[in-house]
Parts: sequence; C-alpha cells; structure tokens
Amino acid sequence: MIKKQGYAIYVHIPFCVRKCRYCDFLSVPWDAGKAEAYSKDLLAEIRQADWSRVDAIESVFIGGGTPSLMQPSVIGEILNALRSQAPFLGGCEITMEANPGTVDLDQLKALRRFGINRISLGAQSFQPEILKQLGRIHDDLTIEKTARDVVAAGFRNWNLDLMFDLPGQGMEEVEASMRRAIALEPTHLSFYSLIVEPGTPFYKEWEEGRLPMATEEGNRALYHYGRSLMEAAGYRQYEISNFAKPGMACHQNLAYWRRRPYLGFGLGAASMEMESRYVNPRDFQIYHDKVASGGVVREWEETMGKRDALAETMILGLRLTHGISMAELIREFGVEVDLIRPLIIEQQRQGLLIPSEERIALTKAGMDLANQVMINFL
Amino acid sequence: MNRQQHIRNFSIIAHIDHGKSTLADRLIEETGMLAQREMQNQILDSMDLERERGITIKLNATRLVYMADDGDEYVLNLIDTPGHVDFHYEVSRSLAACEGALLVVDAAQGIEAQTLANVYLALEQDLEIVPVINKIDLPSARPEEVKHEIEDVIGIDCEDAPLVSAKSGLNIRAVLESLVKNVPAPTGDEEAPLKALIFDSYYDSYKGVVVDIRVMDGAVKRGDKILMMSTNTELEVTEVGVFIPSMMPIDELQAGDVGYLAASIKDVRSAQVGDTITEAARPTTEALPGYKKATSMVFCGIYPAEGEDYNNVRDALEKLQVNDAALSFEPETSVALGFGFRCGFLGLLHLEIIQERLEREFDLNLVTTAPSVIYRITLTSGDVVEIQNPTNFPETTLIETMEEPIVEVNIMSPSDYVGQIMDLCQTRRAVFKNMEYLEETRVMIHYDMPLNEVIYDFFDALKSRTKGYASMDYEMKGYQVSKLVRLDMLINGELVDAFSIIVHEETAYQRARQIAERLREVIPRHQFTVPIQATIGSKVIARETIRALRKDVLAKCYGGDISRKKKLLSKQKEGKKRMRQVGSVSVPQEAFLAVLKFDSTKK
Repeated sequence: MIKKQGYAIYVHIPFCVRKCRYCDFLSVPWDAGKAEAYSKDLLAEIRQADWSRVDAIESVFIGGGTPSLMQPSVIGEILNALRSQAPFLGGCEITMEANPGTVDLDQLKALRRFGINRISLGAQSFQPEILKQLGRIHDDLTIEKTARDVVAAGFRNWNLDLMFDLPGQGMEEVEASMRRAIALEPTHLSFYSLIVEPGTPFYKEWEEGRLPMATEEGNRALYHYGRSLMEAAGYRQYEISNFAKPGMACHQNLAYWRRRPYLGFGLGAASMEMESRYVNPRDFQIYHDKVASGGVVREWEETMGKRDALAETMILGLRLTHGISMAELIREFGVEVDLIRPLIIEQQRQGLLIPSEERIALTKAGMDLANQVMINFL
Repeated sequence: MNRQQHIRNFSIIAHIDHGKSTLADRLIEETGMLAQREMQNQILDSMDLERERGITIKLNATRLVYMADDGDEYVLNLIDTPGHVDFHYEVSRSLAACEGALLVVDAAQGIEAQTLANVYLALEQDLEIVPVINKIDLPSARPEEVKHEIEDVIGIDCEDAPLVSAKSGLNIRAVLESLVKNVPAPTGDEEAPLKALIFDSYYDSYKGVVVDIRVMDGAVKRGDKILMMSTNTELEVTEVGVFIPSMMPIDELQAGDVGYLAASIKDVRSAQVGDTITEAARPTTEALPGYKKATSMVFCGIYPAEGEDYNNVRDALEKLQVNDAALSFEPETSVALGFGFRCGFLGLLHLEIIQERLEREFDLNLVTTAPSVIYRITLTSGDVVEIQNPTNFPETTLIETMEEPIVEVNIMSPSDYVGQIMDLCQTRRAVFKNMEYLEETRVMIHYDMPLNEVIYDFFDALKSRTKGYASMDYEMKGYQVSKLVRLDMLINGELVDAFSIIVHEETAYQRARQIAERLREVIPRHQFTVPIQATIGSKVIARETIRALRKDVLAKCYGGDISRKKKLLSKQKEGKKRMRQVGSVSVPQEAFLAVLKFDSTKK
C-alpha cells in the first residue's frame, strides 16, 4: 500500500492583460468569455482528478498568467473545489500571484476571505522606463499602491518579484529598485537574473544585438550587490533566487526543491508524484476536450527510476542554500549514494560545495556556477 | 542473331544536381523493370548519405530491358559514376566497363568544370558521348545556348540531343532511343578464353567478397575455375548474376555482359578492382589495361572519440576499403588523441564522406585532425623525406630545401564573378595562367596553386564568393620549392599535436590568428583562464585568451519547468562528455576540424 502524504497544489490561470516582452510562460490575452469557460474546465478537472493518494494539502499556489484578473469569487470556488477533495493542513500556505494595478483593496480583502493568505506581486523593477521596455502594464507608483493595499487587506505574508540584468541596467538602478522594494517590507523577495528565452520578442532583439546586457562578470556583480542589500535588511537567502525574512520561505517552492509530490491543474500545468512527472496539454481546445471526456488530462509523462530520482534530488536540492541532508539522502537512496560521493568530494575540492559531511550545499562561489556542479549528478 | 548487337553498356556523366540520379530512376521506370510501387526515390543512390547529399558516391550498376522503336529488345547496362572531382579514379573505373556515356547537362546552368573533366576521361577511353539536356522545364532553361556550349567546348554534335525533364518524366524514351542508336554494341569474342574486368567489389556477409564485372571475351558460370590475373589466385565461381538493380543470379555471363560474380572470396586483396579475371584452365594471354592506382593526395588523422573503441574504427576502415580502394590508412599515435589512424584520401570531399560514412554506417564517434598533403623535404644530410604528418616535420636546422605539391586548378564560372575569384586566388598563393571565354557570359580560369591551399577551405570559399555558381577541378602538376613552417598550438601552455599544421611562411601569421580565434570561440570557458598560443618553434606569433567562467546558473526552476531544466543540464553534460581532455582543458571534438574550415563571415 502506498503511504498517503501531504501534497502541494498548483493551479494555472493562463490569462494576462498583455504578454510581457521577455515572457515565455503559457499565457494569452484576457478574454472574459474564454476565462469563464476555462474556470469551468478547471473546476471539472479538479473534481475528476485522482485524489486517492492525497492525504492532505500542505500548500496551494495559484499562478499564471495573471490570476488577479479573475473574479475573487472564482478563486474562492477553486479553493473550495480543492478543499472538498482533501483537507488543508493547519498553516497551509495559499498563494496567489498578482500583478500591480490589476487588484484593488476590496478585491484583495475578498481574496483573503476566500482563503488566500499569501500574495506574490510581480514588480520586476521600480524604474518606469525599464518597466515599459519589459512590456509591463504598471509603473513604479502602481507597485507601491498595490503593495500598500496588500498590507491594508491584512496579508502578513507576501512576496515581491524583482529582476536584474535588465537591458541597460547598472548597479545604481539595481540599488534604487532594491531599496524601494525593501522599503515596502515584503516578507519575501525573489531576485531573478533575466533569462532571454527563445521565442520571445526579447530573444529577437538580443539576437540582433539590440539588448544591452551585462557581461557575466557584470551580471554577477549585480547579483552579489542585490544579495548584500537584502541580507543587510534582514532577508536570508534560502535558494539561488529567493530570499525571505526568517521563517517566511515559500512552502510551495520548498516542496518543488525538496522533491515532494505536487499536483498541477489547468492548462500546461505540471505534476509530480510516485516517481512520475506529467504535464497537461498547452492547447485550450485539447485541454477542454480532455477534461470534457472525463479521462486522463495529462499529455506528456515521464517515469523515473531510482537513479533519476537521485539525480533530481541533487539538482533540485542544490538550489537551496541549506542543500541536501546527507542522512536523509542515505535514508532514501541507500547505497546509491556511494556512487556520488567521489563527485561530491571533487566539487568540495574545487570550492564549489561546502566542506561538510552532513550537508551537500553550494558555496557562494558554487552558487554562481551551479550548473557546473549539478551536471555531475545527472 | 548476334546477341551482343542487343547490348548497350553505358555510364552517366553529370555535375552534382544536374539530375543524374533522377534520370537514372526514370530510365529504370521507363524500361518497366520495376513496378511503380517498388521505386524508391533515386534507386541507384543506395546509401543514406548519398540520398541526403543528393550525390552519388559509390558506383552501382543496373540492368534495364528496353523494347526499342525498331521492335527489338535491348539489354542496357547502366553503370553509375560519381560526379565529384575527388572521385576521378572511380569514374575511370566505371567508364572502362562501357562503350558509351550519357552526358547530362542542366539546361539552365550549362557545363561545369567537373563534368568537363569526366567527359575528357570518357573521350580518352574512346567512349561515345550521348548528350542529354535536362531540366528543360525550368523557367531559366536555355537549351539552345547550352547545346552550342557543348558543341563549342567539347566538340560533339548536339543537333539531336534529347531535351528532357527527368523530374517530370518528359522525353525519357528519346534518351533510350539515342542510347540504342548511338552507343556501339560490345564486340567481344564469345569463343575466346574468359577475360573480365573487375570494376567494383564489396563485402557481402553471405557471399563473401562480391565483384562487379564486365565480361569482355568468353563466358563465366557457376562452378567455373577462374584465375585473378594480378595475384594469380585460383577460385571457384559460386554464383554469377545481374543487377535489377538488386542481385539476381543467372546461369551465365557472356561477352558484353555486366554483372556480378561471387567465389567465396575471403580476402579482399585477392579480388582487386581493376584486375582481370580469366579461366584457370585456359588463361588469356594478355590482361586488360586495368587502372591507374588511385593516389592519396590529402591526409588526416582519424581517432576514436572519447569512449569509442579503437578496434571498431579499424574494422570499419577495413570494411570501407574493400570497395573504396582510394582510401588508405595506417596506425598512428597522438599525444592529445591517443591511438588512431593516418588516413589518405583523394581529396577533401572524399575525406568528409569517409568521415561521415564511418560515423553513420558504423555509428562511430570520431575526431578528425587537420588535413595535410605530402611535402618533400631534402635534409642537410642529402636524404629526401616525404612528410604528411606535421608531427614528423624535421628540425629547421636539419632542412636543406622543402617542396610542396602544386596542382593545376580549373575554375568555371559566370563571368560576373571573375573579380571575386581572382581576389580569392590571390590570397591562396595561386599563380594565374590564363582565362578563356566559353561563351559570352561564362569563363574558364586556369591557375597553378599549392594543393595545401586548395584543401584548406578553397572550395567552400569559392562557392561562397560566387553564390555557388563556380565549379572547379584540379589535377596534380608536380612539386615546387617552398618555404614551409610548422605551426603549433598551445592550449593552457600545452602543445596539442593534433592542431599542428604545416603552412607556408607567408600565410603563417594569418592562419595562426585565425586558428587561435576559432579555438577561442569553440573551446568553452573553464573555471580558470585558458591562454591559447600559436607558435613557430619557440616563437609565439598569435595569442588569445579564454576568460574564466563567471556565471553558469539557471535563475529559475519551479514545478512547471523541472523536466525542461533537467533536459538543459543533460544537454550541457552530454556536450562536456564529448570533449577531449587536454591537460585540464576540455576541447570539443569539433574544434579539431572546425578551426580549419572556411568561415564565410571572415575574409
């Protein structure tokens, strides 16, 4: 018999006011009719899913797209649908992503009533001209307004997303944005290096040499500087791009990096359980038809052997500053761990892993070259 | 009725892309030997590689049965030939088995340099040339001009040349009629002792070595005792047959026939291409002329890549050599690459094709080093040594004089590109001989050029500068005194022997800079700074630095993209696995050839 356990739940809302120029996530422009039909499919998918292994729900994350474009009542319905399948554990973290300017105080209050207890705000930068270039729909003042509303609505746990190495951005710009972010006192900060993804308008510009990006050294200087500002303000780094006040790390994200099971609902949503990863269709019509047929919605699936599971545990766990506990690793994988011991020692010798017998974790230098370390464990 | 009167043996001569394979397919279709459903595209090009590149590499034969307009049935044996200049030798092999050749010329493009070279070969062997103008359905077709061009340049009558479209199947019968009418029938003596020419051979796991033969005189059947004249090996025939185009056993091959023969031949060397087969009991007095032995002009090292077995590479080279006599190889060792082989080729394309066949047909993972030619060096001791491996280049103080091979290069091109071609040749130490107008808008330019410069990237550069319109051909001319040096590359202070090349003193600086730059581009960054130096003797003449890796991290990895990120990392790991360790530096395998390839972005 398979032991029941606590799951993380992801729900995807694939609508945005408009697509940002760097974004390669699955999203389409907002359309009220389409959104209504989609939320019906979403609820049906949740109802029809196999919940037999889910003992309890440890965290929920409603991401997008821009979930804050949905009526709070729809979000409430989604949460109720989940609740009727499996109990929410005490202290269950329920996050919703919101973009500045897409929610007001009343809506935020309503969301809180329906059960949302954490908001993640996609701020990205506090410089109007950079925001414009990114294709964001808000400016710096909008961020501050929405952030104040989040706090006023009673949210005690909220995140602000910032990006760095944006086109033309230097130390001063990173510092200015960071200081304004910190001044808003979020409990959590995500600090990402811009990734220019193929298929985005940014990629085209970058290919044509029209995106002034920092050198590798410059990129790292921005990262190190941003990190020092956050640390000085009392945030602790717990993952390559994530920082939080003590005790405020994001449970949902930790579940991914600790390789705990999760179910994803909605267009293109991914799930992982029982040594298998699977993904929903990315096409609205196919997704709708699959849900309507009442059968399995997933479109792609990979099952993993013990060796793959160990590799994943390593590449995900190494993202965390705490790294991977050696004792837990041995408990889960037994003698398999012996295979990677020489690799660990080698990376420690190179100064990329911390010299520890208890934990396998990147050093600060290792964090800049994480891939170089991770590929050894694949 | 004279049996041979109804046999025609012919080859097809055509430039790459002028539609030879398509025409061959149409001829096969038209003669009704195969049902439509059995037709694969381009039947004669059996190798995957040939089909992808659209060129014929190995020759092949097939028998067509054709009911002519005169009411008689004819057997037409089509012996395929490769179109490229590198395969000159193989062309002469197949031509020797024929009485005639179809000359296929693209109605839009006209004659190309390599076609011309092959036509001259055919004329030398007294073959009847039957011109065919192909692709007449192209909007840019200019059949009348092309006919005149053939008449002017080659001097054969094109009055009645069939105008065809192999692609659409237009006028294919006219080609067959022209063949029957113009190609002479064989005139072998059917009663004389057996005399058959081996024009190809290959290994078959059931039959042993199979030889493709043209019977000149006499006849051969199963059970006959035969003699290989050059090796004096006696064998018993186990099977004879014809190509339809797959092998079909028949009772007997007679004078004038083309077919195959198997005789449980284990050792390839006892069935050499070009050899004459005769009867053991009643040998013919005189062997057929055979062929000029193919001489390797271009050499390079071929090494098993990381994780590849040396023995597999050797086995594969041996198997390829069975039907590619022009390939030569011997074992060698490199400090950087370990145990491998020094291989000799007819030219650069031959080199690339062998490399690709090794990788595809034998699924081998290889590293190829820079191509080289044979240099002749007279030492102060008076001894003369021939060097093709840069590693063996003697100490400068021991050298009296150095010579390098010179080739005669013939370039055919639309006259618009003459300027560009001359500019290019000037940078390759070429000596202009003369230029002739083939017609108002087409020229043939003759140069003498060091072969060393030709094999580097000349062909690619020529194609790039003339938008693909120019074609070229080269022929060995002789040796010429030259000032040569060995250029070495040091990576992170270590000499990598596989990168060493022999170059002319004048071009050394430029090449050193180019190679150093390319190495900087292809060698990935390491966690430390990697200096690249080009040296002649102890003198550094070019230098580049690969800066240390400062950032290699994926900013985001959430639930939705774990599979994708895992794939990215796996790809990165795969790339790293395929690299060679040179000291503490990982060098990608492509580096070994990539640095020597033409880069169209640079002058």
